[in-house]
Amino acid sequence: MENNDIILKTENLSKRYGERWAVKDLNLAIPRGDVFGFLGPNGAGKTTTIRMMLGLITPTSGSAYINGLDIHKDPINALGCVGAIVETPAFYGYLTGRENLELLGSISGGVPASRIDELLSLVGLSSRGSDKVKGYSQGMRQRLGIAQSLLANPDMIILDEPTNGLDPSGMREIRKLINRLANDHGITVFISSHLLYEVEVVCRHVAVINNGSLVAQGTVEELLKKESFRLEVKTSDARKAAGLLSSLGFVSNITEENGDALMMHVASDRVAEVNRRLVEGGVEVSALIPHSASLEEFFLKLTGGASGDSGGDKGNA
Amino acid sequence: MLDRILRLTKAELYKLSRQKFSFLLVLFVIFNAVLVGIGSRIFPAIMSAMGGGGGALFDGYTFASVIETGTFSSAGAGTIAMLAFSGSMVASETDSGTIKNILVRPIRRHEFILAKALALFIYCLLLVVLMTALSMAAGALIYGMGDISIAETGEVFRTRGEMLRNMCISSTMDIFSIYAVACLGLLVSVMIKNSGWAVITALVLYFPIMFLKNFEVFSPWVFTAYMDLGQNILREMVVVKSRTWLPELYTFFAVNIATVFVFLAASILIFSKKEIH
Repeated sequence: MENNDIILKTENLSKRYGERWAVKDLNLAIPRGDVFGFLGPNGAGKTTTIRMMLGLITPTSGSAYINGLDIHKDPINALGCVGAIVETPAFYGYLTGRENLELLGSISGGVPASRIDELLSLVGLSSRGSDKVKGYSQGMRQRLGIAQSLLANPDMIILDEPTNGLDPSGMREIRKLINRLANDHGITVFISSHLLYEVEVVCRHVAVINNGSLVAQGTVEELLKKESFRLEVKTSDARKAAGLLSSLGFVSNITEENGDALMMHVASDRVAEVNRRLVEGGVEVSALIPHSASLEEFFLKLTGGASGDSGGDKGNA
Repeated sequence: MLDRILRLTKAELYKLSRQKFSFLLVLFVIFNAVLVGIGSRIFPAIMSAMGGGGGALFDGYTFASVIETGTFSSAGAGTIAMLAFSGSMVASETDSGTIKNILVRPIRRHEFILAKALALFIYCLLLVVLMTALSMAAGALIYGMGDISIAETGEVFRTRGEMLRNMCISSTMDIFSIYAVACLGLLVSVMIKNSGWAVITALVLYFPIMFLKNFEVFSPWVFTAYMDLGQNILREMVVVKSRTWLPELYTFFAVNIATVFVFLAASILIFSKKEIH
């Protein structure tokens, strides 16, 4: 990938607290125009990474670059093209939603009233913009957080756990909003989350972090393709088929299902070979049904079962 | 850089104008200024009636009596109020998380602190102007504002115009005294995350620093030793014709400006290294 195609990258980004490495040698590359998921269990180092990317904390070693600009050496230009929410968005409760946006916009160099209207409308807060923020629900604060991150027309927004504390309908709204920002407005969206389903349905690229280290990075498709998936084989003689397949080194976890079917783990590029071996062994194969690995399975395998939450309103994506 | 500092200062003043706390401080100072003005008239009379010494320091309808009213005790109230106010200035933003919304924007850390300091100075200026005006008004209504003359001969040795100018000098000194204290609060606010603790720490820290003025070895250098210098000179001017502002005025500004510089430099240094979680 060309350097111009990368909007944000980290080089050996590390942060140590005492003897403990919160993040260690993290190398990320976020493609321009992408929706990028930064996945990891609670305490994996996601928020620490984001804080370093935004200059809120100083890395112990390594660097973060936005549009090729080192965030710690040139924060003015680097941060000029980014909007962000870090953890729960906080606002001045004694000001209205609109006044909060005006205030933050004035710090960024001034934002016209029409832009504030546009953003309030984009996040669905037009009718509540004149209410004081102290009366806002968590979902409304999250949406106002997204609006403030968009104030300066950024090339990229960084959202740390954007659906945290939201109910299923709130989560769905935020997901729709993220898709709209990426598809209609061409904004690169970096989302950190421990909610696997959320990342799977929203993101094209993902990076998985565990114990401060990067354990996988790529498109969701690529990562799952590499992963062995479950294959269901329908056959007339499941026991004989199991005997034949168990001698093959590339098939594992063979289990018999309902007497006429087998389930097994096998790499996607070895399925044809499974079929050939069974036919050559005199076993009739009536169906080969692939069951794709989910991001959840992939994640659990990478993180050794650490608590990534598959939650969310799966049915409402 | 200046452009960003001014933008931040404007935003800061906007927040101050919308906070109940800043209005309460103004009300507190106004209340104090007017109350002390009235008290200076009432209490000596009560004390006198009870057989105590009592009595105003300066009798008669002169400018001297105005000086005795709220203006100068208001400076003390303003100092404590500003300390509490500045002590929460950065800490409250760190505490609530709003600081992250600001620091992820294209600004530098020192610009953030300088904007806070500039907003504090403007607030301080408004507070002193307000309390001086109100105290003078209260004093003038009660006592009037005549020339100061020698009782025995009737010779005027400080005119009203001269005394008005002197009061302005004294109030200007108050601005710097209070601002130096506010900068101490700002420094504490940068160091402590919890706004409540920051205010308490600032107040607790202030009193030992104030106490240092009692030691000869510290008194020439510590800003608290000069806090009521302007008021003292002004009072002496009422009774001693030869009393002037110089050369103490030079020392006053040198010590206060150096103090402000040290507190702001320390605030910037600490805040630049501070990790925002």
